[in-house]
Amino acid sequence: MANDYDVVIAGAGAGGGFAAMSLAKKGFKVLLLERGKRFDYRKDFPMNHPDWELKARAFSRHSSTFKLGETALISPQDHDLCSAKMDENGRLNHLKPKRRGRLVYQRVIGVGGSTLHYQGEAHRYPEHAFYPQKLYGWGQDWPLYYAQLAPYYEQAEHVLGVAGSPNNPFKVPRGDYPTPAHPLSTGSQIAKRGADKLGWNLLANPLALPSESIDGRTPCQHSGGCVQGCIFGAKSSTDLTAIAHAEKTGNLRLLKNTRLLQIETDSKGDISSFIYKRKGKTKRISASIYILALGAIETPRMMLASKSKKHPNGIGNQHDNVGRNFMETIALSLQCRADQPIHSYQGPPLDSRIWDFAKPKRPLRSGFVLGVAGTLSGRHGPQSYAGSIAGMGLDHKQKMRAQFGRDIQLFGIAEHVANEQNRVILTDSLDRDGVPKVDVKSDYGDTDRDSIRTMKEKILQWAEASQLTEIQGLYSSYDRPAAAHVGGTCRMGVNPEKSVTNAKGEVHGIRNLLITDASVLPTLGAGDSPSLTIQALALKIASFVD
Amino acid sequence: MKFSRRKIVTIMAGLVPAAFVLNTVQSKARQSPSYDIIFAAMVDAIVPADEYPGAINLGVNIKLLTHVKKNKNYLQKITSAMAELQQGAQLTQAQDFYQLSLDQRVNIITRMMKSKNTSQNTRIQLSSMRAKTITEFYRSDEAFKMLAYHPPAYGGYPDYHSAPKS
Repeated sequence: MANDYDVVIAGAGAGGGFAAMSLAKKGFKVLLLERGKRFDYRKDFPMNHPDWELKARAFSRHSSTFKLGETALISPQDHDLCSAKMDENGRLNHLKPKRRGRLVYQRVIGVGGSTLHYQGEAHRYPEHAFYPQKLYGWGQDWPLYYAQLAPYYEQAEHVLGVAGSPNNPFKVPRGDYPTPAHPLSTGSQIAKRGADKLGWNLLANPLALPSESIDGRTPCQHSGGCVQGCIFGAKSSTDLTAIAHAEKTGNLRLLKNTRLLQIETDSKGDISSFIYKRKGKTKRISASIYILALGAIETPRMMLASKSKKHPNGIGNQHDNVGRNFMETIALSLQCRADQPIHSYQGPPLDSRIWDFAKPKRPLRSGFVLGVAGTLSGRHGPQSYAGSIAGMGLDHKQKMRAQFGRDIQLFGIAEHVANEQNRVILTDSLDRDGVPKVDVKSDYGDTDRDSIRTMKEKILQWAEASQLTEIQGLYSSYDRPAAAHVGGTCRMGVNPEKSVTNAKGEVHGIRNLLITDASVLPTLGAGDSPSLTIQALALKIASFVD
Repeated sequence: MKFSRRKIVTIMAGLVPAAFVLNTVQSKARQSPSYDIIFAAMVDAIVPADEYPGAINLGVNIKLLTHVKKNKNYLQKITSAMAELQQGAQLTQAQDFYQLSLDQRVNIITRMMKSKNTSQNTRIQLSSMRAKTITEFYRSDEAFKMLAYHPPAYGGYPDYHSAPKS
């Protein structure tokens, strides 16, 4: 029986979209399945309305929550790693929880995936992030190195129109970015003065928010509303870039509101079909090549749930690696307030970075980055901000005038060292489509705790140097887990006994199944955002398909 | 800031057209002073006027009450809460709620919102009306002017990197 398509891809996010574009341009007939809808930025995002704070958020119901397992306990000696409030004496008073909180996996189900709500960070991983075992004695080295990925990074940056400055002494030297870097926001300018005093380098953050028009799209209008969905169509989410390019070739068919339910295999153990559900009906589709791009939690979920004679423990799980080595986001954030109005809700939300600490200086240490944010909290507009201030009367009104638009967050994001005990596991419950639900077990190791301690020390030092004395509190992902960047659950590697895919994204032992999402990442790039790496890897993996 | 008689007259003048369409059930619900006066005094306390307009200057009390009056049960809950607020003022200050100073009204509302001696309905309605008053006020053009804010839909923020004037 002839296959319906050359390639079927499940998941129209960062990885799936770029794989679809590459393959469609090469002339392959590609079917792209996406569980969610396609958003129209002119209508569907709340900030299109002056009264946007009263409108329903476009992506509010897409997150999942995981308990992290019974072992995610917090010892009293680690309370200094936890979130903290300021007490009356101006000291940080750490919370003393007995265990880590739940992990809220915030994603977007829709054409474009989580690029619909991301802030557009477009980082090339530093070179050392590819060899953590060789250089520092932890994690697993990648089966490829930076130089092999560089051409695909460049290609992805051009598709996205990334705005940045090439002058970054902490990254591999490179040419100009497609569009110029955005000027630093007022908040970042204040933080830069502090960084300068400390001898640190606060640099413009490369962003998939083009500063000039590309492909006829409006350039970034600095609305600060990336996480709500860009109402100008300026943010280079995958639906407006890679998928749009793929559609222009005439070789892509996109099925929205279509959910992958199961993967079937043949007698050899190769993939024979994807079973999906659309408009209430279940259908089967066959292709020469199958690609999973569902993300670091959903891809292993689908693989573990699709058991067969040749794959009794799930697709590609012959060595019990599928779902293991889950990496979450290690983050710390100090909420401060500037002593002058800075309109912190304006501008690209994450416009600056400090990479001085990304490269560890000692074995068994991992790296981290620092940055500035104004609007990461939910208190973005006047109504939500006012609602967050206690009290009423003149006192409330005066506080509102004194505080609104002055928030600055100094934050850090670290590498989460891969640990095979951290994993995605199937539960006995089924969702309403009959797909087994999953839970996530994850905890921090000694290196991760050390990262939090060091980040805290640096961030407090930075706040003092920046003369940010009005501090509201400290957020820590140790007790309030974060899942902005996740990965590792089908990691690529040379050894099939310790990895799920090879350097070509091929699932070990299966001829025709590839993975092009965050699950293949062996490391999280020393705190850098993974989206550009996922996109570059998708292009590289697609390049091997012929 | 006292809730002056002049202010009461101004508010009543605004309410008269609405009063004409009120049915007899609502008339029976009114006490002296009427619940809408107490309601206006409460809204005024939540976001008062200073050098910038306050909530009642923007008609927030009228807008909220118009919504309340669409539902008989809801109106009953609000009138009951206003009666208890009035009672609280009488007990602590021997005055009608609307006659108290701004600070006195804020203190009574705040105390009653937290006190277990306050009925559950009143605690709920006070808390809810606080949130609604704040939301209505801070979605207004006047509030935007006060904060030097404009929504992003009006062309984004091209000057985000220039420090605003204090």
